[in-house]
Amino acid sequence: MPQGHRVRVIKGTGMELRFMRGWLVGLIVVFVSGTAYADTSEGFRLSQTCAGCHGTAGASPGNTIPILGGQNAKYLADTMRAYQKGEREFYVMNIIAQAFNDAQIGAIADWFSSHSWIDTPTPNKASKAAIGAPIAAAKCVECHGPNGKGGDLGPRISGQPVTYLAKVMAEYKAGSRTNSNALQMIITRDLSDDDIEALAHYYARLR
Amino acid sequence: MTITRRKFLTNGMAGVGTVGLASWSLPAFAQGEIMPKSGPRVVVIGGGWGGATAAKYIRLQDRSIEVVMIERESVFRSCPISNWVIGGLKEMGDITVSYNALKTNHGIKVVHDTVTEIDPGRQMVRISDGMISYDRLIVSPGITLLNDEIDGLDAVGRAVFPAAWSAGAETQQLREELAAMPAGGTVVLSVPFGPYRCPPGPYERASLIADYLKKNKPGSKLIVLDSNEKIISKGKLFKAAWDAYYEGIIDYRTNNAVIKVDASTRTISTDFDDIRADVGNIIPNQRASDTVDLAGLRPDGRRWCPVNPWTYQSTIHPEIHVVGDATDATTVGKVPKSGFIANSMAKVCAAATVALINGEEPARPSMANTCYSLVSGTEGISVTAVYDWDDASGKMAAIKGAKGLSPGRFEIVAANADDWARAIWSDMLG
Repeated sequence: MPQGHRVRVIKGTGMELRFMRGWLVGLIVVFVSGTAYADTSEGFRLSQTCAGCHGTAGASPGNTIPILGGQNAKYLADTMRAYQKGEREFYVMNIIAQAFNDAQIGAIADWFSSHSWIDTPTPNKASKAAIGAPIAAAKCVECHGPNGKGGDLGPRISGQPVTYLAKVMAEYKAGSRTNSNALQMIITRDLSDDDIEALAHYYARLR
Repeated sequence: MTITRRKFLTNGMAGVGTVGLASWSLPAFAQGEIMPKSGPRVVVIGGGWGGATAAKYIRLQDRSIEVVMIERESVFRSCPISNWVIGGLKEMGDITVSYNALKTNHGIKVVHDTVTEIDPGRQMVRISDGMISYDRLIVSPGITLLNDEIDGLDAVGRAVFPAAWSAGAETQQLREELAAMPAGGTVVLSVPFGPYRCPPGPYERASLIADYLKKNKPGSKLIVLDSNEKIISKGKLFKAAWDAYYEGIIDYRTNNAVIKVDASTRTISTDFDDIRADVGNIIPNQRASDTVDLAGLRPDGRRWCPVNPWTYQSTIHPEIHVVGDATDATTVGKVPKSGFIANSMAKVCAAATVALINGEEPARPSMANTCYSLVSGTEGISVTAVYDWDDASGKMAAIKGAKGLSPGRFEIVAANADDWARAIWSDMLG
């Protein structure tokens, strides 16, 4: 299969639709559960090791490690570059990001972005999510969309684990992150710790 | 392209062209075959970090390849995180994972049996019911403990001084012995000569035993008898934590290989001392599992299996791949014998296996490692590296700048370690 193909998986049906370079060249129905890659792309070659912490195709089941599969490609690439430059600090990713050049970062980001988001069963509380809902409507939807699935202005945050979301907001609030989204995320300065926790539960629960 | 690489490609392609294609283009009636083939088949020996990952990643990339994975145990028990069980932070059930998802999600044929023969000529392996043929074989059998090197470490000795270096009954035994030990007792933990499975493992175990003794068994001590001249992984980070938390509990002795044990008196001997242990954990020196010797994959006098790290083909039998702890790091490059590395090797091996079966050129390997270790019940440390192919050496090498330690010990590292385990178990077995 040539490079640059996109594989979209329709979740729950076990059916797989393949689109190559935007042209629908064939409909392949695979009656199996799980995902097949048939993938010789640079993105697949380099991203396989990411699964060691982020899960297969970025389906992280953990509380502190974010889901990557189905995430906005620009956000993923920007994030790796921010780790590379130290604009975002995290002890593991600051090391790993040094391994890849700009084109490789782009290929990895495109590969994860081409896969479906997979919700994982990280715990969250309905009572806290309810408190977070009105805060989200007032503060977050403009960039992250009404369902938290992101867009041109911000990454997908719905379905990410509580601990991860709260940590990210706390970092922005503390001003410890200087990456490109920091200006928009100045909005976190007005949030109390309780607000942050409530928002984290709201978005973790919004799947 | 280097000469080394061309050489294996020639070997690999020859395998596909002659033996491989011929054997799957016709119905297989190989003598003694219990699972006749209808297409290309990969047999994987071992359902651990390397084997399970290889099996799954072959099926992710090419559903036309049948994968038969032969594993002795009925469930997967994780070595990484097993120290947490010994320290009382988790239970065996927390580190046990079913093999069912490999069958139901990926159509892998999981056979619970022991391989007793490998016939590289006929490309078949024997289990108790008969022979299973393969087009390519992936061997990921782990390690064999060299108990014989320690005088008295026979079956009786092992029952008293378990290694607990493959997660299972001995892990639980060690946990129970620590819990049953009276306060003021002496625990002895021995560290083998490197290279061995999981370089930071003994030091993480020492940390978690000490943490448990500190909280639950006042007056107890832990004597660490290290065969090596220093802590061989994350040394400064472990030492700093031990100095901060376990002063008067951990008695760390370098160049102290265990040479003899006496089960009847619970005595552990080095060249310098005879120590009576209330709880003794003897981790012997190691080499590639005996399974590799069924196919002569380990040269005489060598402890590990030489491989070509572009594909993980054995340099002895190119239609057989070896991944995981059994590989010889002097042929792979400077990578540790870790679960993460086994997972990473297996992905390179899976992609190469799919390519070779389909008559394509295997892609350039990319590998990574992150090893998390707890230094207490709440704090962890880590080491990370990303590896690329190095043309000059024909091996994998850490990418400049992309290798390093956590800057200290932190609670977030411990939380990440817990998440990492769940992620990589799901990557192998989910």
